[in-house]
Amino acid sequence: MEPKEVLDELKAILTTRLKFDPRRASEMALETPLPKGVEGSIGLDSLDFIELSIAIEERFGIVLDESQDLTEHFASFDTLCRFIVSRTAAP
Amino acid sequence: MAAGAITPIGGDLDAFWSGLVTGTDGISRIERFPVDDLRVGRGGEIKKLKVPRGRVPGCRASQLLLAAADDLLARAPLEAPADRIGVVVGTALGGVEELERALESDGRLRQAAGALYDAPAHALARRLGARGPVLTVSTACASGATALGVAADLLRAGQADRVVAGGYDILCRFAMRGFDALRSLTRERVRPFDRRRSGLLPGEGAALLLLARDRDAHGPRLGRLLGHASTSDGTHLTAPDPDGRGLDAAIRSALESAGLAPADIDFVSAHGTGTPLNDRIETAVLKRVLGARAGAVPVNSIKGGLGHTMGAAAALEAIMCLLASREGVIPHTLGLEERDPACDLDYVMAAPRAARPRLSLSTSQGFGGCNAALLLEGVAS
Amino acid sequence: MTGTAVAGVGLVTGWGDGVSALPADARAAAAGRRVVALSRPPIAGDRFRRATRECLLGVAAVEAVLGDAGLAREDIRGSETALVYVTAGGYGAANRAFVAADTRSVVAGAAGPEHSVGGPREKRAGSVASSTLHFPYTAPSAVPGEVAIEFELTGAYEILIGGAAAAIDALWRATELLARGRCARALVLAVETFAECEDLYARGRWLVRSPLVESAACALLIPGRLATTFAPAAVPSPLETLARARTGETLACAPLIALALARAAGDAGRVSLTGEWRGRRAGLTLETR
Repeated sequence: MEPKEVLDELKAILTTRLKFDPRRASEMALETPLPKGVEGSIGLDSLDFIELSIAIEERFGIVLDESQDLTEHFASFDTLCRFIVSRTAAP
Repeated sequence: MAAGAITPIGGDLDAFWSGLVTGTDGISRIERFPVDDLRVGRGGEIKKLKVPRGRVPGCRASQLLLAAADDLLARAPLEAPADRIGVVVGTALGGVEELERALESDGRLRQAAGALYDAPAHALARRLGARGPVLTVSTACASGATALGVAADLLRAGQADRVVAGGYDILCRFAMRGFDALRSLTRERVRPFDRRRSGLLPGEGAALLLLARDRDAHGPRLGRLLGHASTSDGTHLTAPDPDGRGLDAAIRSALESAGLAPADIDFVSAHGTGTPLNDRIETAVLKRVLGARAGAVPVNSIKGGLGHTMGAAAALEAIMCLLASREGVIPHTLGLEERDPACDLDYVMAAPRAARPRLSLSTSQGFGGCNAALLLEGVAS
Repeated sequence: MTGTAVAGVGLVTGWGDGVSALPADARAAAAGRRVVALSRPPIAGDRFRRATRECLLGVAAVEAVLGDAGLAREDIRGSETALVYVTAGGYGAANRAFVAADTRSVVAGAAGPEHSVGGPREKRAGSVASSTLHFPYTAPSAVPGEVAIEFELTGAYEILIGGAAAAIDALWRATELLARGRCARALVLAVETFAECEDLYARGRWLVRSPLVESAACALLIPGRLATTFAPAAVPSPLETLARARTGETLACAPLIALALARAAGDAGRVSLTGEWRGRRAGLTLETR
């Protein structure tokens, strides 16, 4: 998958699963940070990240290893898209 | 003054205590409802629930509560007029299964009214013939502790002469689905403070204590409730405050209310659910509060063998503290085998410890930023 | 000072905002409706995107009491403000939706009448995953939890379950916390919604005496001169009767609505509140300013 497609899917997840307003979601850019407490971020907390992880697993058919610290991949849409692309490309 | 209980490790108070000191593991594969579509299907399930005699609601939560009440009444009479007997129970989930039954069957008022979280408390009051204040507290997993504190205040304010107080919760699909979706459950076993800990498992149970004002209590007693406090984190809906500020405040407030200091604490019954976050934060709070003595105060968690019994937890833990004083034994933390280096308190592990704590601190935390602390004074037998 | 005084009451009901929106006769104004519903408060911001209607109503009630008492958010932030929350069934909608989303349950899909939490119900693929954000909001503590986060409340905290009598107990708890010096002020908050469980409530004639009116109310208690009294009550106080006549059946919100009515009528000094639930009627007298 291309990063742009992944981004669109993530935005859809943000709307349907994380209950963001669709207009708000469409404004989000690759650089937008995700975690709460980071300036300019969309303010996701740990509950949101669990829901997001589960949605990603379901939508992209990948498995996220809970024992691994994946924080860096969830820093922004950019890092997340690249992470998902790399995992879906893996044989 | 007296207590009654029903738990996954024993169907009455004596069996509960003996289960604790023999390290009984009450966790098993859940049989009462389907779990095969969930990632985890284990919990502290009470396998044989003897439904109390007489007119008893069909609701499991009420049945647990009534079983604990029967155990209590077999040990101590209430000895007060009906309108001077109060009931205060804590629960996280109430009679939530009754909602499912109400939705299934048409036209049944009983299930609909039974779906409200305070229904079991009223079933208990009817069973006891209690006509005084009847309260249900729901501060999530801290409910049992808050309930005991409120009960003590009712007595102090002269609103009742005897109060039956404690907590209950059932193991049900509603809770399993929920905790499973939060990824809070361990796929292995519950290991409070262990470096391999990976989550909690829910359990079910009910525990009740009979409370009376000091001057009105005669005959054998289990101990005294000296102080209590319930506070809010105000930070996150499910996770504890990262610095444990709410729990810290609850402990200090409880101590202050009792005119005691951290130096007076002989033993800590921790919330110790076995989640990576809870145990670390709770340890940090205890170290801060206990200060220089932190390494010398025994600490345990009994959730390893029971699971997290939610509303019942704090009440069971309070009973455990009092029995530890009476019996001169502190039960060990089942499941704890390899201490997390970051959790470096004096946990009672591997085997029960001969010790007779006089003053115990019991801590609890729950969803919605709930924190509670109880200070219990035991009696030497 | 070991007494307690009421410094403000905030109120939103299915009739509108505040006491001025209440009809003279709720039953007549309901015109046969069993439930008079409140819409989801239009509180903006991503922070509340996943919160239930009940959480937002709780926030709205606290905003309203701040307005009534002439206070700002900074005045209640911190560990000196106690929060006591009470509800009989405010968790019902979230619980029902959670049960309905369970594909293994006999009652999957039994989500009840049209009014759904927050907007159109989404059909999920029956996955447990949809429960992650949902489960925490099924707990009664979700409402005061979101309120505590929003207003940065880190003080004493209690939650009671029950109807009007439980709200009297909640007010009593607040007076105790004040008298013991556990807080400098106390918020007593009640939220009740009925729309999503209308069919369940309808099964009990004993509950549906007048219309069930969704509401959220919050009282602000501070130290006062007059001591409070807390005792069983044999009969409803005039305020209890008035509140029911003007509002309808509001369960845990009723005593707080009664307080609001007393204040709106210019009553100052001692007010007598009563509330009944499951056969027990509790009573409390309070000073109001």
